Amino acid sequence: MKSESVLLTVAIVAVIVSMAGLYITYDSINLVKQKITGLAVEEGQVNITIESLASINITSAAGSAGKKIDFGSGYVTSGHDYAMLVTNNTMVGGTDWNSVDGGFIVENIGNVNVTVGIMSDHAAAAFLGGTSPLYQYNVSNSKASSCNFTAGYAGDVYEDMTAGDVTFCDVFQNGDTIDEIRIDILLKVPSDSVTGALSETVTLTYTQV
Amino acid sequence: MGRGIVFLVFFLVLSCDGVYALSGVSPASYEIDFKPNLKQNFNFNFLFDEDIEAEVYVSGDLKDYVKLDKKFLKGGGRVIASIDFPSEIEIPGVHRIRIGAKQLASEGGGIAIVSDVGGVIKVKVPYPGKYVGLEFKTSNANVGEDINLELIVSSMGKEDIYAHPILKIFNSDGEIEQIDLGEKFIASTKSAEFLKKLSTVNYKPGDYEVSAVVEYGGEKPVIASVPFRLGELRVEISNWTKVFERDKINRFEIRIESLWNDPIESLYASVEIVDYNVQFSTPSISLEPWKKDILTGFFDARDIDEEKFKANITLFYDGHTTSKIVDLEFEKEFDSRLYVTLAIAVIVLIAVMIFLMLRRKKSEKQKK
Repeated sequence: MKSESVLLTVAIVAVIVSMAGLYITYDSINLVKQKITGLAVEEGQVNITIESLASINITSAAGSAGKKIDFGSGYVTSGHDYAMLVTNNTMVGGTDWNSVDGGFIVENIGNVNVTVGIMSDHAAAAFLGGTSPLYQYNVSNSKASSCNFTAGYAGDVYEDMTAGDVTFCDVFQNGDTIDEIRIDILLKVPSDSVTGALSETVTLTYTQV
Repeated sequence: MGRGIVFLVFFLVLSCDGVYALSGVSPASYEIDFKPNLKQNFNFNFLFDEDIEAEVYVSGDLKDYVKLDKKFLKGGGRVIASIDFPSEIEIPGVHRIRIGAKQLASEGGGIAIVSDVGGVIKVKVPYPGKYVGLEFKTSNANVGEDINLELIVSSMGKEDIYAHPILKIFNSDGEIEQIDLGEKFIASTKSAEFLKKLSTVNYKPGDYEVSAVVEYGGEKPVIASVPFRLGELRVEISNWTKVFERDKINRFEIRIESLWNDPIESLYASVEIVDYNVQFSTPSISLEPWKKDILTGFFDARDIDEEKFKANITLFYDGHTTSKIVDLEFEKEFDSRLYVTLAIAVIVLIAVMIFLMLRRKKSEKQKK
């Protein structure tokens, strides 16, 4: 009977010790997990803010920034009332001027759509002078659907350049395949125009839609 | 001679000079609600190529409440726009303040092209009472695909609203479906978005319009409508060259239009002249969704005898075809005999008149 009591006591102690060992083992595993394993124990966050950017790039048709589009020097050919110089490889009624094949290429390189307008320092009469001069621009999509033309401007037609800003693109898009327009310039130089090296600045005005 | 000298004197130098490439501004815009006496700074980072000078300015109807920390930039830079609003702005709505940077043109002759880039501060001034602004977007799809409808309702008044939009879908026959988007609370100056995927399984290809009718507690609901198209894999032949020159190789143009909402690759046309052994094909092209284009081929008309004849135009694309039998004809030939006869008749008539006049004068002289 006495030996049975001793055996029972030893069994109870063994159970208690094993329970304690189980607890210590479990606790140790948790501690080791937190200290020396690669297991993530806290959630991480990556914060990033991408700012909007309205940006365009103007190149010549030849494609390189800073390159000139140059009609050169010339005069209205004898027997003609005027010369037509257009950046679509048209040079009619003139002598010595260069034929220019390609207008300005404008690309939306930002991450937002923009509205675009055009203006010049002067209209045709003040720029070229003479009888019935023309100074016009023509905007076309060099990548299809790039520009949603403003109501009243059909696109790919010549319009008079003005000294006031005229919006021609309500939405100039920024997607990779829909972000490029072409602007051609037309000059009708009358035989009685002003002479000399003429100076003029065309301005493209743009802001986010 | 004199005119020739004039031409030489009017000598022009015309060049497009000074093409500056890159320009930009970040952020492109800010959007704020108007608060009385608000003072706040806004940073705009302008981008220009190195050494490019730009003039900085502010425009818009609220420009008098804005000061800029600089007036010129060289090679880009940061501009701080400081606003100092009054206690009240009378005109409600969205006011745009534009912070612009305009490139200065290079010196010298020629036509320079420059950029004038603007960053925008949109200031939302609430309307009295309840006022709702809608932005409604959709997209095209092919039949059977879902259409994504996105409606943003903005409470632009000084009072909060409960917005309850109902979508009405129309085709050419009238209204075909209504969808209730439920009700949402929208606090003053805030917005809520309602999104809906519209199943088109039971729709036919064609043009549709969807109207969002939004009740918000105002006198009348506000309505915004947008069109959308459902496509089918079909390309239409809309027009073609109808008149040709006899005994020549003629240019033959076929105008086509895609009715499909995805690009169509390797599209070409084959043309057979009916009752003749004459056939030609056009080069293949890629056709963008819903776009029109022109296929061009060349037609040898030397074997065609009749003045009017027919052709069978067939388009090949994505395993599908579109065919059309069309009427063609040769140009009417110039009948030179008719014109020569008329000219001789006119000359004879004039000669007879002159003869009669001379004879009359002669007889008058003899009488005297």
